[in-house]
Amino acid sequence: MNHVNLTPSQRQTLTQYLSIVQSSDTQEALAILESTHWNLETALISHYETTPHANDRLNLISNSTSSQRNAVNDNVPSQAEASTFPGGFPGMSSSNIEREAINPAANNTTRSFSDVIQRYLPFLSSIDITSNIRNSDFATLETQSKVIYIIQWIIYVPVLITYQVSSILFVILVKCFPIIRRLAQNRLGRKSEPTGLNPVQTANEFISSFQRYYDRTGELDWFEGGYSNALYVAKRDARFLLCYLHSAEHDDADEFVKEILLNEQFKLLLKEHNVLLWAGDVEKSEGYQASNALEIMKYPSLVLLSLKTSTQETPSGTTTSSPKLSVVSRIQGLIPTEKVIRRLKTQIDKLQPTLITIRTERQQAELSRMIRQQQDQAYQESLAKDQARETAKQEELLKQQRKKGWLEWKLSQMKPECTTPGQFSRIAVRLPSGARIQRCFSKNEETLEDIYTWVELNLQELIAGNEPLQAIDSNVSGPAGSIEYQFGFNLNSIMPRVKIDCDATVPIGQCNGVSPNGNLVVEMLYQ
Amino acid sequence: MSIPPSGFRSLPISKILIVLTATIPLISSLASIKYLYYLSLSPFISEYQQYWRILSSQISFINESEVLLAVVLLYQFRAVERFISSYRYLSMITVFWCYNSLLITLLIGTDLYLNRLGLFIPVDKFPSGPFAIITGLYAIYKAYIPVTYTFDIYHTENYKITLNDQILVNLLTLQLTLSQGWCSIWTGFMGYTVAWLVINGVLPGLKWRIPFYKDLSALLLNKTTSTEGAQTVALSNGAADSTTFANRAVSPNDEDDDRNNIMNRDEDEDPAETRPLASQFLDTFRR
Repeated sequence: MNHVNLTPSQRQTLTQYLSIVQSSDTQEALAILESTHWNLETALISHYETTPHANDRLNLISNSTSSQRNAVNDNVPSQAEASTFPGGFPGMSSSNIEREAINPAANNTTRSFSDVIQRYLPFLSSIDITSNIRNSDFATLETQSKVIYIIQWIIYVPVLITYQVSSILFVILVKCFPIIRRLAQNRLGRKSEPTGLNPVQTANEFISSFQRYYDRTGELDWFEGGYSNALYVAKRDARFLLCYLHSAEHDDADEFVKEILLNEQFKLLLKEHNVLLWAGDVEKSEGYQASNALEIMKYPSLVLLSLKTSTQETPSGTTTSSPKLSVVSRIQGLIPTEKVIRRLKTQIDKLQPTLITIRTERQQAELSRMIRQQQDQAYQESLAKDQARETAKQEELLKQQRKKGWLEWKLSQMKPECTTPGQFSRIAVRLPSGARIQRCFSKNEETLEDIYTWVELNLQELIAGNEPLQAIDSNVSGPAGSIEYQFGFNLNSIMPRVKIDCDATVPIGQCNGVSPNGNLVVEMLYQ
Repeated sequence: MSIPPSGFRSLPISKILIVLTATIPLISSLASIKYLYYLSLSPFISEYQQYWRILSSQISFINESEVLLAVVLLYQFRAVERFISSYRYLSMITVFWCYNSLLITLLIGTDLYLNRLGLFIPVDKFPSGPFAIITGLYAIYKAYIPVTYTFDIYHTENYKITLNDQILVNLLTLQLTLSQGWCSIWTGFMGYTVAWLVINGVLPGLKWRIPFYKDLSALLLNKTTSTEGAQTVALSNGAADSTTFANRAVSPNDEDDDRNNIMNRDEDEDPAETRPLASQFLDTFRR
């Protein structure tokens, strides 16, 4: 590293180079810079020419940044681009601006976007950034950037001044003439903004005002919810949806409501066919958008929507498309009541069978789905039962094997019959089968548990009397893990009848029932 | 994006206004009668006493850029006509016209009086064209048409500008108002103020309607109905094979009793499936 030998200007060039190409390879950078005699532009050109992937990335970045800037403002950034990127190549000048534009764009485009804006649009960013630029960075800017910066000031200052002056004037005006505020509030209260409006609330407002002005009995059953919600419900339940678009300012609105909506025949028609009735006030954003979507040319209007299938003749036969919600009738403007009812009735009568079919199909699908679900459930239950049984069986087998292993181990561990006189106690046991077995146990070395083990071995027929039936495998390893062997019997002495506990800590000599002689019976335990 | 349906179906007043706004300047310039639309105090009123210019100066724009802007704006304002009905739209325009003419007359009277006294004349020149009416319609538009969506631009941490879908109308109105300098600015402001006061009920005129409008329109619509019916019958005779034409030939009889509605030609979709003639032929050969 010959970092130290560099002059300050050379070091600055190196830093700039590294930050532009986004690399930390100082050696390579030094080599390239040396070969180009510390000319930053030539070094950059040679770097981008020799490494194709860097070139690709550069193109990508410059495209994205330039498109972003063009999206922001057509005038100023394109000027800036033309001046700072002559010939479309960055790095010709080493101003801060383009480094800002390139560097963050690689890792965070949004941040670089705002950075660029903050650089180029001094009034739109916070004041401290502008003052920073004014104090420190402005002097370091290139001449072209300075010119652009001044032009921006010239453009933005009048706008800013106009804005400030007009807002001050407005405040003064409102203070002087309070009637303006009253009028403005009156006007603003009528207007609706799309943000933060609850469709249900809007619908409820309309319904309550409608009932206040026209329909005191509340016979019309309006849907309480937004337009899209109404569409969803109509689609889900396969019902007719009748949208009423109300414009309170319209001349025909009152007459329309009184003549058509409150007509007894009309109400009957709606009730009879279970028509979903949704109302939109076109003074509210949602109603206005709905009216545009429904292509209403004249208020007030009624629009009938219904699920509809379309059949198509294809070479392979007639195919029916899936049902789609579509407009089947538009009643726009004031029309004689009989005609409205007749037209609605015609459409409803024609489409009622389709809806019934759809409803039936859905019911059947639902039914079959339920049946399938029940079947699935039953199958799952029986499967679970089988699996449980299988597991229990396997566990039982495992238990048996472990028991057998333990017994075999015990057999291999069993001491030979004690023959030293005075040291043994003779124990005789009558088995449940009636056979009588007898063995001499060592008084001190063997415990009461050994008697139990011996009896168990006899019961399991691993030994008969004292002779093992099978060859004893002395290599039998101890039982895997510690198992608590449950003996299926108790040993009792005959006279008096005392239970001999299965205790591995009590030597035979200390138990009166079995020492020096024991006469025991086996009492099987049944659980 | 939510915009009203394009076209002028059942919006006759907007249509007529746009046609007039575009054609009157053209015809005037072809006939070289543009001088009729100028109004300023010094020669025309004070010397020639041409008081009819107060009305004629509001008829037509004289620059093509203003004509273009006015046409675009009137097309946007068709939402207002849809909103408050054609009848009321025309009535309101008439009300605005009357108020503006009255105000201009008052101003000119003041000017003449001041002129006679030899004092400073505040308003000397008047713009040619219905600036006041356009800004009045703009006031109705702002009052009634709801904002569909809003959006932010220049969103940095501390500063953003929130705009809505009505920005186009706002900017175009501003440009139109600025187009003839000071005189069009104050005229536009006057029109906006008058409309605002009318809408908020300070000035009378909100409930006023043009008399005999219904009779006139019924008379006009009657005529169009009969011609349309004749056309349809002729068409159906010409192509008797097609089921669609046959259907349409039946429908006018159905609609005939409804005079008001024939202009927007309510389209009930025919639930019974009707295939066009071409596909019927094709289906025949496909089998």
